[in-house]
Amino acid sequence: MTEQKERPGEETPLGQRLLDRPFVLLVAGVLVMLAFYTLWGIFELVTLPTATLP
Amino acid sequence: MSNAMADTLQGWGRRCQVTGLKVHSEAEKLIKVNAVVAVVAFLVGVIAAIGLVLTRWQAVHLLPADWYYRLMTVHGMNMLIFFILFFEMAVLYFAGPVLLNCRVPAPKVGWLAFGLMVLGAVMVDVVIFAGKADVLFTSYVPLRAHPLFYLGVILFAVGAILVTCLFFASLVVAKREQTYEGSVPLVTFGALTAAIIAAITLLHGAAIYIPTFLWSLNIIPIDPELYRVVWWGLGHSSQQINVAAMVSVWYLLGGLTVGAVVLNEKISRSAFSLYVLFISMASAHHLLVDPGLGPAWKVWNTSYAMYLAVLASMIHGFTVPAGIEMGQRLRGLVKGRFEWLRKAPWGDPGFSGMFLSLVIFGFFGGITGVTSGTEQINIIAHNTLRIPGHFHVTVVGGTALAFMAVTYYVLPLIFQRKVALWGLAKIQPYLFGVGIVIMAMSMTFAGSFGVPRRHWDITFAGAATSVEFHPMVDMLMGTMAIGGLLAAIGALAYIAIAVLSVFFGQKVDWSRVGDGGAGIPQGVAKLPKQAHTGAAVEQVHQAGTPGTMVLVGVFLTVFVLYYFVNWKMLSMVWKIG
Ligand code: HEM
Ligand SMILES: [Cu+2]
Repeated sequence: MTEQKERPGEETPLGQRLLDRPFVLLVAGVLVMLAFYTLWGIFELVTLPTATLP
Repeated sequence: MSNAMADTLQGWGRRCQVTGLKVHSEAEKLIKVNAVVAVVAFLVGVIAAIGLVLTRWQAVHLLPADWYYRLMTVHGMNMLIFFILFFEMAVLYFAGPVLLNCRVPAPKVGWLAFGLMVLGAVMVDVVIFAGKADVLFTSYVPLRAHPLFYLGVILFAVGAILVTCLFFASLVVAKREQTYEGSVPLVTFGALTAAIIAAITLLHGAAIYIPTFLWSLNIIPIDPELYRVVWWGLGHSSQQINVAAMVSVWYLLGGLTVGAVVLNEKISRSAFSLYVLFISMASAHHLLVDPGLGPAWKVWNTSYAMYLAVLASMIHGFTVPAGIEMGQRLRGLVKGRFEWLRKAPWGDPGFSGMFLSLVIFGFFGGITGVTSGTEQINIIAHNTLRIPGHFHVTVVGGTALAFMAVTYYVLPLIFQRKVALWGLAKIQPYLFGVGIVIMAMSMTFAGSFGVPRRHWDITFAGAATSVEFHPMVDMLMGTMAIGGLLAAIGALAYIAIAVLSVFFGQKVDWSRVGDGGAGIPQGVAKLPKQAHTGAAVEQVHQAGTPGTMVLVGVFLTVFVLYYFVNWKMLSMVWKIG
């Protein structure tokens, strides 16, 4: 439950500034999942050739 | 922390007497109702669990086949979805408005969401008990339930989406109204992680349940394999909401119970963001034996990229106990490697539940999960009892137990009631934790002998063909049942304590809370110091966390052994010559 206090005159580091932006994280999380799992997975299925019956 | 502060903030809420946080009265009410309904769902789930355990125990074989599957559906939905999500809604209201000292942005939306979720849950349960939805919680198409089942799930999910949006809104409001300085607290950041994963989950939920609802009305067709891909985008990700929420609860309870320090904010936050990016894609491990999907997709999503999320869990699995060790050392418990652990407040259910949850999730859950989620090994684990064996040590021994532990702090701090049946409360986490471990490990080993999950009768009585199981299996199914019943007793004890405290409990007398005594957890009686400065810190930092290093060593050794043994078992499946 600690908070990070900025000391005056000190730049907040880039990483922290990034993690301080909830909506950037939200978009990144959704995009990674959609790209690698969902869309790629669906693509594999819809491009699957239909099995020919013997 | 001072009693001098006014405990009412006129017309707005109150100031917590222990932590000094400002609690908006709407946040408090919403936390209360969500937590209460969570416990009700949990009770339904436990009753079903007893039926399941006594059926899988072949010596008893209590239920007929249809009721086994019906109660399995009841159990899966009420535990995994209703109990866990209602509780997580409470966590979001706490980690957002309360920890950020701000108001609930639109309380009416919160109440609407709550109403939708209750309505949805009741609809689902009624349809299942009426025998119109024996489809298990995965509801794989083409298994077909009554349309109201899918509609119930959709209503419930809409409610959950609204609460997630409210959480994001509270981040925005708190920032604009400057109710906190710098970055949000780590616990809130963890809850943010949970909320982002919830967004991913609910997106997939909408993408699958709406079409399935239409399919149940015979309006559109659905491809079963497509269903599986999209559904697991929901089914797996939802479990990762739990992981993020549970880890947040660990950090919270570490601070409240023993003044655990956060070793390094950067590392803990980076680990959470690895969850955000990489944990959901592991949904693919549910599809490792599905023929339609290629190895590149499977291996990328369950190994290479996903191991970054495993890394994150290992980081938390180290930083949480190490933070506890360091907090304890700062409190003067510096002798040897383990004085901090020996002299921990084991009689405080908030602490014991949290620590057991950490061990059960990290040790048993982590090891079994990473092993059976490996593409190659999965073939000998898939659809065996190893799978419920795994997730009962993650979501049950891990998440549910962490939620129980935090309840012991929620009761006095939010409900302002003493914990009832204090003697029972002290042992409750042990009953539940030990029971679950016995049950889950028995399931894991029975599964290694090939016993299937979701199977009503493995003796195949009266069937045309049958399978002989190793004689060990009889014993393992027995120990599974005994562990399960012990856990059920622990679960019922939890429910009794929660209900008695909330509805009949003694009010906490804040002027005398420092005296402690029955029903007041030690962290509430005397909140440990939350921040440290000076020479003591320097010294303890120099000494490091030698005890946790030993625990980590044990973990890694067992992990390597179990992983190796599984490859060995795999190599023996196809004997040549
Ligand atoms: C009182 C403690 C509990 C006991 C004794 C218990 C016992 C069981 C048993 C015997 C099964 C059936 C396994 C099979 O035949 O395949 C099962 C399934 C399951 N349990 Fe539990 N359980 C408990 C708590 C929980 C909790 C708290 C959760 C979730 C938060 C949970 C989630 C599940 C799920 C998702 C399934 C799978 C259902 C399916 O395959 O459709 N359980 N449990
Ligand atoms: Cu999964």
